[in-house]
Amino acid sequence: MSGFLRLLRRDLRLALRQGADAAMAVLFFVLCVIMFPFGIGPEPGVLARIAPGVILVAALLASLLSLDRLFQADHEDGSLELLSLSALPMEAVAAAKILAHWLVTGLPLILAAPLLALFLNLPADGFPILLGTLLLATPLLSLIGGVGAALTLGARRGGVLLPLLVLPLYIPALIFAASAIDSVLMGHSARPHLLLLSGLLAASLPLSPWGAAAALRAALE
Amino acid sequence: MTQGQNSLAEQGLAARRLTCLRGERVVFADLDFMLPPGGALILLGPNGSGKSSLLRLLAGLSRPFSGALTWNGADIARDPDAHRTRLRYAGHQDAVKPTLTALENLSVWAGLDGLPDPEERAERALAALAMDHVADMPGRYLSAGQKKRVNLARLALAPAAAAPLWLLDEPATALDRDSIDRLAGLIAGHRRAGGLVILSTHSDLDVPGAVSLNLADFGAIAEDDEQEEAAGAPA
Repeated sequence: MSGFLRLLRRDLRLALRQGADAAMAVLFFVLCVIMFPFGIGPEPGVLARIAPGVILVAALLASLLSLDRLFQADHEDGSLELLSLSALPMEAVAAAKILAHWLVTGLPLILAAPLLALFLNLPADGFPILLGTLLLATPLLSLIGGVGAALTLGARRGGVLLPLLVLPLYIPALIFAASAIDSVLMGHSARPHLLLLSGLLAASLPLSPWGAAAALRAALE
Repeated sequence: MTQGQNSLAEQGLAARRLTCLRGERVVFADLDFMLPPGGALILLGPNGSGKSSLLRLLAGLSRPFSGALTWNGADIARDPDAHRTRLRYAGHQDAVKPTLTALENLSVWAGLDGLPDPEERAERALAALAMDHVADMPGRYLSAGQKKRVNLARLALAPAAAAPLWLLDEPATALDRDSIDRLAGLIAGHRRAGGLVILSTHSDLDVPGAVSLNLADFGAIAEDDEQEEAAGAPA
């Protein structure tokens, strides 16, 4: 087994044993979405109209929730130093940890999304495209967030700094994901939006681990 | 101190005119040493004299302000990847995950270093530090000394030929008498197999034939440094 898979397995095992992190992100996601009918009122038409945006924004905030711990725990107990001295390149370390973050927080969000779409009265046509966009958008959130988490590592109040740094970078993903769902609901093709979203994902896949690794090296100096 | 040995073939680790800055302050300057295979170097000096900084620098975790480090005559900065595979660094932090057992903690490191049969190796390494009875205990139940021993057990994972350079920052802290003796045994075995050990210590870890290097002798050369000299004097 390669070092990449070993590190991934270690991070998944840590997440499973701690348990709370993954459950917390999903619970936050669900609660966050449920707040909207209370605030806006139970008008089915209005809820159906705002459903895609609300679900996407809530997913984005939920994936942000555990992001500050992505590298911090390893930084605090000295594991990150040892990882940087291991045979595994720092880029692979960052990629493995970002992938683990997506599996632990992003994937459960996708699984919870249909239920929330039902709460918000999203038309049945919107369900497949909602899942499709989430499948493209949530890895993007983990990838962009991973760079932010590495950059704020060791900074005082990094937990507050991180959302300020990362949220503006999430905007393009949010725009394309929301318009993909909206265009399907209005009877148009979602293809251009999904292609742009895929393009963002294809660009971040190599760039994010590379950027995160550079930031991690700087944090260790 | 060891400059006279430069005429010997350039085997092992050598530092030439090494200078380390922390912020704007010179921690140590113009440090020279030469450590042949099988050698041991003990870093001495008061708190803040740069023992940990030197070990981090030797590990490649930070860069020297000036000076060069060579391994068998080749500059380390030119091939950092080769350097990090040949060293084992044990710092102040033990890198023990509270939710993984002692054995799982150790086998993760064995696997990440690309060693075959990581679980078996980890078991043997734990036994070398008499930790086999707590192998299945989660990290959060281990005492400070036991965590330290899990971290030090990484040293016993690979033979000296695979990772010849050990950099140990206060390895004897929090260890009981028996564990210190076991650590001394590990170090002796590593050196017999041609390995190099550089360690900093305040306790009585017995390393026969080790050269000692007092970092206080290399600090405080900057112009305005009466304060530093006062701090650099052995307490």
